[in-house]
Amino acid sequence: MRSLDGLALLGLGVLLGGACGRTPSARAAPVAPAPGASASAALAPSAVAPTANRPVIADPVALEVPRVAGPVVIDAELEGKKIWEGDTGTTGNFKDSAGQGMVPYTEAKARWGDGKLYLMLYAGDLDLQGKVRAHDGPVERDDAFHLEFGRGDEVRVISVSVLGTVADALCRPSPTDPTGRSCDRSWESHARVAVDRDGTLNKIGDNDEEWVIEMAVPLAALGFADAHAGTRIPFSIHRCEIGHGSSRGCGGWGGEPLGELALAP
Amino acid sequence: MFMTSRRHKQTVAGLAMGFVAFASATGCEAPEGLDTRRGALGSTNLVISQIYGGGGNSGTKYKNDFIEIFNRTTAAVSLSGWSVQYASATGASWSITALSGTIQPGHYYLVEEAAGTGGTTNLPTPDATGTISMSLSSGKVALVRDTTALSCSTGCLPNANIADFVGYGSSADSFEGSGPTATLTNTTSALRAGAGCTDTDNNAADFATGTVAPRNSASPTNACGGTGTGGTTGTGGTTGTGGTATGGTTGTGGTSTGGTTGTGGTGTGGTTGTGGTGGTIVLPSPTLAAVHVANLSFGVVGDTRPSSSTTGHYPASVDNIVNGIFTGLQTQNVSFVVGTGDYAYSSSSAGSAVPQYDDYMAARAKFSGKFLPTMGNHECNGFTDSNCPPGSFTGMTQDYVNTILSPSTSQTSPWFSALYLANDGSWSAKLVFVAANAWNTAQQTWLQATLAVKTTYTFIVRHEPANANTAPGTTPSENLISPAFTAGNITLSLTGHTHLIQLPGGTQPYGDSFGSTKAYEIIIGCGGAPLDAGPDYGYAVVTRRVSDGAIVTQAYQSANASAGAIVPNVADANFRFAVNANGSSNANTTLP
Repeated sequence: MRSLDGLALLGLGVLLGGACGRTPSARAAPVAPAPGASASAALAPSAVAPTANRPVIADPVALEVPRVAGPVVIDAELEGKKIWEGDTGTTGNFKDSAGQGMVPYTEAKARWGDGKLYLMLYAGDLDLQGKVRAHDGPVERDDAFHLEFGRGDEVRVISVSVLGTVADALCRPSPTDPTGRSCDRSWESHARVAVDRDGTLNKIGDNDEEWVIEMAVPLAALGFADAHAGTRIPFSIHRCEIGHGSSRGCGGWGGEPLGELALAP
Repeated sequence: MFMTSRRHKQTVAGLAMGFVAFASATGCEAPEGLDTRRGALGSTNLVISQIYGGGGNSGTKYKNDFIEIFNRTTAAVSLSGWSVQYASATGASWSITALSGTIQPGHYYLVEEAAGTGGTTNLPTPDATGTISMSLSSGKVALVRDTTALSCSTGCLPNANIADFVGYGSSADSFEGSGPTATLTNTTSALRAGAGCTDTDNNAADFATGTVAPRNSASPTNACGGTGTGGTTGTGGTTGTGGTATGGTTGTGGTSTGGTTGTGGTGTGGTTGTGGTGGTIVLPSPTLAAVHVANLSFGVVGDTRPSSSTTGHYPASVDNIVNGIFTGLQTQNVSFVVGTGDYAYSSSSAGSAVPQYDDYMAARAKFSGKFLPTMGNHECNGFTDSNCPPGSFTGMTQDYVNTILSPSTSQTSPWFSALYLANDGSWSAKLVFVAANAWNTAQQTWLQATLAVKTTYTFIVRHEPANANTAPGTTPSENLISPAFTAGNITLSLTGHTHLIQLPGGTQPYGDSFGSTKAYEIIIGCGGAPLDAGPDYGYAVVTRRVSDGAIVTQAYQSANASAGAIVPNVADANFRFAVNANGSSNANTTLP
């Protein structure tokens, strides 16, 4: 097992808010569910009872994931794909560290079926930047989404960039690692990814619009081979828009409060 | 009173200006016979309006090189005994093509030159034919009043026999004014601004490179017309007489005491004359019937499409926003609303965008006035490419034409203009709707001709800001618009595409250098599309301030759009600015 440079830097603790300036120990009050996810909030499990000696940890917020008849063609061509219609299973605009809607607008949609988790990730973006094409490369330097599945001893991390490049790893706590965990890059998510870009790559200042990821991940690879209606998958997703080589705006879903995918019947 | 012929002609009330007056105002000279030559340069009323040397090269469209001549006057001019001549960029050997016939006022005259082995398309029927093989990139072309070969390399001007002279490409060693035109390519020609009307005897300023668009005597005419002339600038007053210093008396053996220095009198400048009133305004087709109004006030909204969709309608969140915007506009006492594009998020299949276009039009119905749309890249077949093939009006583009454009304007061309005239004849305004995602030669010719028609105010409505050159027509149209602004002929450019609102010149607080950088360009792209910046969704209102004729733009937003249903009618204190008719900034931002 070796440390995965980029992904380790985006470790769970950081991902929960640190990338936008907060740390888990400084958790704020729960942020209201994003528009479109409010119906899913009712699926949240019972709260972790606060005690006088530990910080208040908000209830996880569940995103109800509609079940669809698979298989779904992964081509980022949304024409005629009714599975992505509707507000259910949608995070709405990601929240920034202050709990405000992320700028630029960013959202994720989730569906499941046929043994796979399907995701559609939308990223508003004024200038698309992406250069890393090698699998498991340092995609955090590019415009990319970072997804985490699971919590605690095993967290499966998948990053997917504006080029469709995937970097995935299985991460475990590591007290000796500066990031708090070490990640095994040899783990493969077997994610199928397609990307649709509305703009020009690596051309600053020419007013791009957005990019869209459509992807499918085998639930078995995520450790949920027996996924069924009612299964809850700890989940968070995060994105920083990269402009001029640095992060200009960050946001996410499922960091605070903790997020879960709730597979619907 | 309207006319609805192919060219719309509207007479402004109070018109009293003759041809000579407006010709002067637009840079066009008096007709042949009144003043045939100007100064030592020998410039005339016939000009070289286009040069192309890439004909017949590999991969080009046209098979032949050509030189295009244009008659800027209102009188016919005989070309009998005249010639066009060509020499290489640094050469002194001139090739000649003799001309004949007569060029009618506002008409073009096409001189076909040598063919190459490439190219796929014949030129339009030439009015004269020669065999000169011209350089693709740079050279010298002269319109000469006789058929005697020139012999100069540098220093070709002045020459009374040369009616017009163009050095094209950076290496040309002789030219009018400060420098030659930009260097040409296989796909670009040198095009005189104003569709041939502009002639300041400066090749570098008068010409831009653009899509090759040969015009012959049968091409649509271009009258260098416009509004009346400006009044005469007042003359300076007489400079006052300096006061007389009275010296003190020099004491004997004492200190000399100077007298008081007199104060110079200050002359009082004369009064600047008032601008003349209008001439006949003819906007090239396609244009809408002119509308008379008491004052100019209109709304601007753009980018209403959601973040994603398939074949469905607007999501409720977006539907609420768009409905709220038009509900808000209804309260603003504006006579019409312009759309800066992107009304749906869909893909390429015919019919796929219609549900969202229908949603848009249902929301738009909450505003009782006219709606004038321009198309965005999401009205194209395949949004990913951010463009439409030139002249292709299938799929989503056809949906847009059928569902939004035609019901709103009763015409089918994605590019068009609209003319608004003051009831009292004191001003005129044209709105020029550029379809940068359906760019083609016809549109370029139309835009050139439209910009050449002078009106008090000119507003460009185009989806993409100048920086967004992903659309095929952004840069070519900007090459025409930017010089027009420099010449004081553009008031404001209204764009969208980027999902924010932004003041001219990329000024904060909304957006940054990723948005507009042009002094005459604003972005209104906050109509419901996923926001890139700015606090909320909304629109803008553009109004002419009666007291001084300035144009004041004010953005309106909802108090909290993300909270649900909205009516954006809260004036944004950070987004208000004023410009004069010529696009210059006006420090007084008081709302009309």
